[in-house]
Amino acid sequence: MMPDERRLIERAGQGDQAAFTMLVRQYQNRIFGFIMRMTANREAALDLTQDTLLAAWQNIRQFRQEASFSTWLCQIAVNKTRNYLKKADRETPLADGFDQATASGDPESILTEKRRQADLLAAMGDLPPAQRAVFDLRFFEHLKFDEIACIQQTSVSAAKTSFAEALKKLKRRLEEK
Amino acid sequence: MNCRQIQQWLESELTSAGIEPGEDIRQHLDACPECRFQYEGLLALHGRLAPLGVLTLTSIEADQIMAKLSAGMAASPRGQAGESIALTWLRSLVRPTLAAAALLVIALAGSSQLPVAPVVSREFQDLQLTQSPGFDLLSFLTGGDEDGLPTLVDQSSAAYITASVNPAQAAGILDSLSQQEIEYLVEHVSLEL
Repeated sequence: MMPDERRLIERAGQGDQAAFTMLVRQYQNRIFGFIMRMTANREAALDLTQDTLLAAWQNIRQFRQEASFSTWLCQIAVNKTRNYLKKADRETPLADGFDQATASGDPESILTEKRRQADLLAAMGDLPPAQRAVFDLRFFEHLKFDEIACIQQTSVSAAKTSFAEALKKLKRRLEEK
Repeated sequence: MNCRQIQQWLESELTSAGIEPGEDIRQHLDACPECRFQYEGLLALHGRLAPLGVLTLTSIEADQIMAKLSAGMAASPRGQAGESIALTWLRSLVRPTLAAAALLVIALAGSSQLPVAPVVSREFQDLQLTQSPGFDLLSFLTGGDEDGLPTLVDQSSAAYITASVNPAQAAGILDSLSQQEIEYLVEHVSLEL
């Protein structure tokens, strides 16, 4: 953890809102990306990102700085997302989360890109949520398996197995296309 | 390097398309068509999934989130004098949970039926436990919570606990535990806050 980040965390723990804002601004895209891939729903991802950051603020004093701040944020995001998926039986993503932010070019290529992204999100959505989270945290967020195991409250070997299974399923799913 | 080691590397280490295999791995890949096929397949998967790795907020969305966060922070200020709502909530709930877990451990320890060796978190000792009558123990243990905090124990442990005790009655049990029993709980019972 960078010294500056540690100082920001300490200040945020003392109620410094500006410090907390500086702290989370660098992570908001990462948290949004994770939630977006988990839910495939842009509106939901926006809401859940905001909820995650607010929950982090409300609980910042419980953060012990034993894990990295980003891992702690991921843990909150995982739980927020899991609750969201559980509540409304939305385990199969809606795949309506096209990333307008990166859209460019002519309408036809935008449409092609939109379909490609929807296909990929649908492929991710075929994975069970817990497996999807393990895969995402490793593949996209590059967390270590012990960090993932901590977040998912499982063993390191179970996280590795889950990741390997997700890899196989995704490869198979995408090869079918 | 053998095929099994390559397989492990492929499945657990190769999480970035930019990763270059080391010399020993490269030598194996050159000599082993099967491992090379898998390696190339995984690289292709990276390529296919790359668009999902760059999902970002628009600047407008980022600003909106920050504005709402600021409003949320103003509505729930944190400071040295204040205490987090989540911590207050946990303080009110953790005692019956611990009591339930204690009952489970005590009941099962003698007969060696404890299915797993659960864990207690370091925060346990920091909490000043207070009693809270009546709550949904199973949901509390397994369902996470609205603040996005972790669940406390896994499903199987929670099922044992809730099947073994009445949480309303369990709240007083903790008082009767000896220091040794408390230490056993701290060492063995799952309670990750």
